[in-house]
Parts: sequence; structure tokens; C-alpha cells
Amino acid sequence: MSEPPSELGQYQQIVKDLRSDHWPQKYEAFLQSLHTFASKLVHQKVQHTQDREELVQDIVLAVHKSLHTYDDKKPFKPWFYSLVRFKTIDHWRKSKRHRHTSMEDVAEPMDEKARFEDLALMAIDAMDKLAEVPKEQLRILYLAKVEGFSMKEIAKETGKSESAVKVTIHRLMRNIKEDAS
Amino acid sequence: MTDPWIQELANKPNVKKSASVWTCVVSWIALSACLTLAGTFVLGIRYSAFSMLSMWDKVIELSLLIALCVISAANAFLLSVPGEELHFRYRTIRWVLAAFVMFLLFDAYVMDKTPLVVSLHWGCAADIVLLGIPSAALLFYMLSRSANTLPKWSGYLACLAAFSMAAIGSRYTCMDVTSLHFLVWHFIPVVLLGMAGFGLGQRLLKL
Repeated sequence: MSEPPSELGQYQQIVKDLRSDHWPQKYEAFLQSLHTFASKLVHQKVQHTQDREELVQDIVLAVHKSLHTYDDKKPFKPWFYSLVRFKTIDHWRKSKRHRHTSMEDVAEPMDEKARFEDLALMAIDAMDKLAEVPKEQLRILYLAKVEGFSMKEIAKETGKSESAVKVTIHRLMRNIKEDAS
Repeated sequence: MTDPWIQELANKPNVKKSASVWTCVVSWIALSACLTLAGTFVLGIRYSAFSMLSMWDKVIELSLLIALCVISAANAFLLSVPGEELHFRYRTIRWVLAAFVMFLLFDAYVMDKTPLVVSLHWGCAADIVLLGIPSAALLFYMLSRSANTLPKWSGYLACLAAFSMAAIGSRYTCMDVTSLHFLVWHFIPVVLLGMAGFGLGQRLLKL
């Protein structure tokens, strides 16, 4: 996750404050902060810089247009991520259509594209899930799946038993899979 | 340093919270019921509402229509709030539609003692269109002010809700009370008009 989870909790409070007492500078800072956050979120998904900026602007504009639909008693995260997901899919569809019109002679592997979109969405959901995981568990997962350490090495590094490490990884992976499916 | 376009947006804030999904659903149902009732009077009531309510199969038919209308409207409004689409179940609508068809077929074969022949009644389908357009326009207007993350589905559900409300009204402007007639000239037009909502939603409800 590109931002600490507390940041999204703060957005909920900011919206509450904005509703009770509107302050243009605060709203401006809120939108700018969402702009930065959204650019980090879509960074991996859209390679082309200009396209990415366009998508981020679309997301911020969508937030601005539909902020009245957000219920500040509920967490900000599902509301915001839903907009990001919707706008990202929309962007992919548009760019796919554009590719079709400009490269008509090139056969498009449709199934692969659709699969990629699904995988990307699953990755967003997995990232959402990771944001809620305690730091210690996240470290164990990182050491196992990214760094490739053995269970024994991770147990030594974290000071936990080997079986506790195994159980932690197994549970985390199962939760992420359940959320993605 | 803030981007100039963000500064521009900040001058036109849109932070005030809109009405909840259920408030919207209740408001739309109340308004569209009034519109449908007015339309029904204009078209001319040909069948007594009270005599219709004395037949238990017609009461079930009416209840299923109301259920279809309320469930579709509620889901359409649910889809107009980002994040809430996770609570939307496509299956619920499918089950209601399937239950409706099964009930109408059962009623036509078992309860109605009339021959299973369907004559042409384009007037009923036309009545549904006429009665449903104001309700659909109202619902599309209300939905367009929200944020529809699945505009196609919002459009479909909006049309299904509006035209099933119209089908309730058209039941009282129609002389034929048989279930087979209702299935062919009232229910199927509602489903087909609902499908037209996919295209309308994509065009009119996009965020």
C-alpha cells in the first residue's frame, strides 16, 4: 500500500469537518492530497505518464463531483477505491478502444486483456487487504514471498516459532485469496 | 503547491451530504406512484381495483410486481453510491423474475380456466410505455445526480423499476385479467424495456 492506512481514516474526518464548516483551503488540500494518493495507486497500472495524469485527474474530478454521495459514518476507503476501480476500468476500456481503431490490422488477444484487467483488479483488492494487516505479519509475508527467505530464517529473524510463521503466512494468503475471489 | 485546476474545483465545493439510499427509494416510489395513478386515470380505469384484490392469484401477481419495482429501484439507488455496489446481488433480480414467470405460467395452466390462446394486445404494451416514461425520466434524473459506478446496470434496474410500476397501473387499464395475457403483454414488455435501460444507462448515467 502506498499510503499508511491511517491516512484514509483521516480523510473520513476531513470530510466530516468540511461538512460541518466549509473551508476552501482545507478542501483544496484534501483534493491535492487525494491527487497524490491516486497517482501512487495507479502508478503501476498505467505506464504512460500522460495517460496516468489524465486518469488521476478523472479520479479527482469524480471524487469532487460525487463527494455528496459519501456517507461520513462509513469508512472512506471502500468509497474511494470503488471510484478508483471504476475510473481505471473505464480508462482501460477507452485505451483498448483507441488501440482497436488505430491498429486494426493487429490481432488483439482479447482473452489475455480481459484476464489482465481481472488480475489488476484482484491486485487492487489484495493491496486493500494488505493495508489492514499488522506490520509484524506484513514483514513476515514480505520476507517469505518477496525476499524468499526460508521459514527457519524468518523464524530466527522475527523471534517467532517456525510453525507460527507458517500459520501467519498461510492465514494471510488465505484471507487475500478469499477477498480477491 | 496546488494545481490550478484543483484550486478551481475547490471554489465550487460539493461536500454537502445527499439523501440516503432509502430516502431516495421512498421518494421515488411515492412520486412515481402519483404519476402512474394520474396516468391511469387519464388512460381510463377499466377494471375495478377492489374486484382484482378479491382474487388471491391477482394479489400475488400484484405483490410480485411491487416486489420487482421496489427491489429494482433500491438496487438502482444502491449502485449510485460508490462502494455499495459490493452489496448488489444480480441473483436477487434474476430470482424475482424467474419466480414471476413460474407463477404466471402456473396460474395460466392451473388456475385460469380460459383457453391458452394469446391474442394481440399492443395497446397494453403501449400503455406500459406511456405510463412508465414519466417515472423512468424521474428515476434517471435522480440517479444522474449521484455517482453510478455500474451505469449499465443502474439503467437496467431503473427501467425495470419504472416500467414495473407502469405495469401495476396498466393492470387496471386492461380488460383482460388472464395470467397468460399478463405474461405476454405486460410482463415481457417490462423485461424488454428494462433491457433497453442498459444502453440508456451507459449514455445517461455515466459518472
